[in-house]
Amino acid sequence: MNILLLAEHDGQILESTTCCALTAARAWPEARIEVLVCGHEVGPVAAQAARLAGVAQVWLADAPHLAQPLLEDLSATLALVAASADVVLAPHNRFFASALARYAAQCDLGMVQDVLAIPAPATYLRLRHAGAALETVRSSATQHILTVRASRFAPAGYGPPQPIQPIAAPPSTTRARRLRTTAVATRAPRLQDARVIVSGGRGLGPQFFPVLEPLAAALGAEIGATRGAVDSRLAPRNRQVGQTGTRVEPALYLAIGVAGAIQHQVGMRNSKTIAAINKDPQAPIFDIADYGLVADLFEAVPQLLEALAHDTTAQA
Amino acid sequence: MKIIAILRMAADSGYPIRIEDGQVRPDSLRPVLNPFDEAALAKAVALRAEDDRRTVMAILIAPPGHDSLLHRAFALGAQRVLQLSAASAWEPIDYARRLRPVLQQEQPALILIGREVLGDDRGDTGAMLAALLDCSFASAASGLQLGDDEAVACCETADGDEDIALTLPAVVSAELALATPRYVTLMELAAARKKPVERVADAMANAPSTLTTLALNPVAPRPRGVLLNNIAELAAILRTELGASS
Repeated sequence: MNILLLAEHDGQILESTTCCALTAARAWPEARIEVLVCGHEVGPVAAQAARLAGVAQVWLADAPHLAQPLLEDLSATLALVAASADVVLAPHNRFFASALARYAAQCDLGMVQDVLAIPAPATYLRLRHAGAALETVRSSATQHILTVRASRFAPAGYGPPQPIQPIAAPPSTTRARRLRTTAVATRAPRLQDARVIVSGGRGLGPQFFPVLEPLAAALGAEIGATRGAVDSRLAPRNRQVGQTGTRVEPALYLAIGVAGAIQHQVGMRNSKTIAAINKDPQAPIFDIADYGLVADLFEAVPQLLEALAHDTTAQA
Repeated sequence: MKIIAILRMAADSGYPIRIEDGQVRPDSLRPVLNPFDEAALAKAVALRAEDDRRTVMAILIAPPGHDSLLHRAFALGAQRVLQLSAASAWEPIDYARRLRPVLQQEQPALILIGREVLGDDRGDTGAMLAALLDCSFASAASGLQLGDDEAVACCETADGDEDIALTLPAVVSAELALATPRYVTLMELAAARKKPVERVADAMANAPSTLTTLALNPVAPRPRGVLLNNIAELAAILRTELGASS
């Protein structure tokens, strides 16, 4: 039994999602687990992966065009080392999901995405019907290809270093090229992995970031937005939480002026605790919030900041 | 130059889905054209408006029937509408395998497909389709320019966006932002009913799926919580929650 795990990293260090996906791989007992690190000048990342507990070997594909690979290039590199694997898995993100989908189709195989749990080998729990249903499926494929939702698996620890095997990456595709990339100024929000999210609706208007940023800073939170707020260009699209945006499940979700349309609820109702401030007592968000406060957000948020600051002072 | 938009069905997100005894109650599903695929078709129609040497064909992959969805595809601006009919709950690879022979016959320069099926985001059918047709792929496009032998897609990524140039033929998957479907009037729908739909039967009707559903259960609804009286209560709760989760 061989498992190949595709590592997620930022060019310098492994993302914790990789450690979580390794835990998912252990659903197959006694399997030999290998990790593939793709990137440019990512020797330190490979060294880190080689120390993950239970990993037998790391494949290192290091090439300039893999610094920010096209999905054609990532799936071609994956295909080099995946042939002997019984299971190919990666932490779920859209890019990995597309790259694995391409690899799977080239093998004439299906795949299972965004797996929440692996109760037995080749048996997966996933969400269906806009998050309204949980489905358990069993796969009889000759090779199991899947992405797993990292937040549902505890991160694996570290152990003694194992060997790193460099491989020559295939040349870049000639049928696609990247012309331009705009990364958002600082590090992009990783809503999917955030522990705390403060989310705002269209009602914040131009005050969207001025109101939410201090609160997010005080709570150590990422900032999310409703589709309405994004469509009104108050926030960039990669902050959108909901059916057509990111689906999140933080420990704490604080909804500020969010009405709670069903399409938004789909994206956040699996949060551990939900708190909401809205001036409309009939807002649907109160149907699913653990804690609700009926108040005008423009008055409530500054008061909340003050109360939180005061609380810190009192504790200190 | 031929542009093909792939259309799939989705459940109208305005109606809750009911699950009983491990099955979705069919009467709780209200089929609509997948909005992401509608955005793909709308973009195809807009690209034709730029250059009338381009033609737009829509392929609906859905169980037999659903004529209203086919009429809607005409009304949205498709010149040809083909129904690839088969009854099944499908995985992305099943869509891609069934579409391959039709697309190989039609030889489009550009294939547009929604980034996901609304409510059942089970992965990138577009990526699989591109792999089976051995062409390049751009995912989650919110902008698209089409030339004679190249397309440039502006794609949304996890940390911003990027422009990807693809040699044609190519597959591009659509974000909702790619294009807004035009408003369809009743007159246009009535006219669309008279247009001939092409139909192709599923050549893989008996192909076994490698996935078996063992259980399907509704997610338990969240209990309604409590309303707080003031900011101080909320601040105290936030502090407790943050302490507990760190």
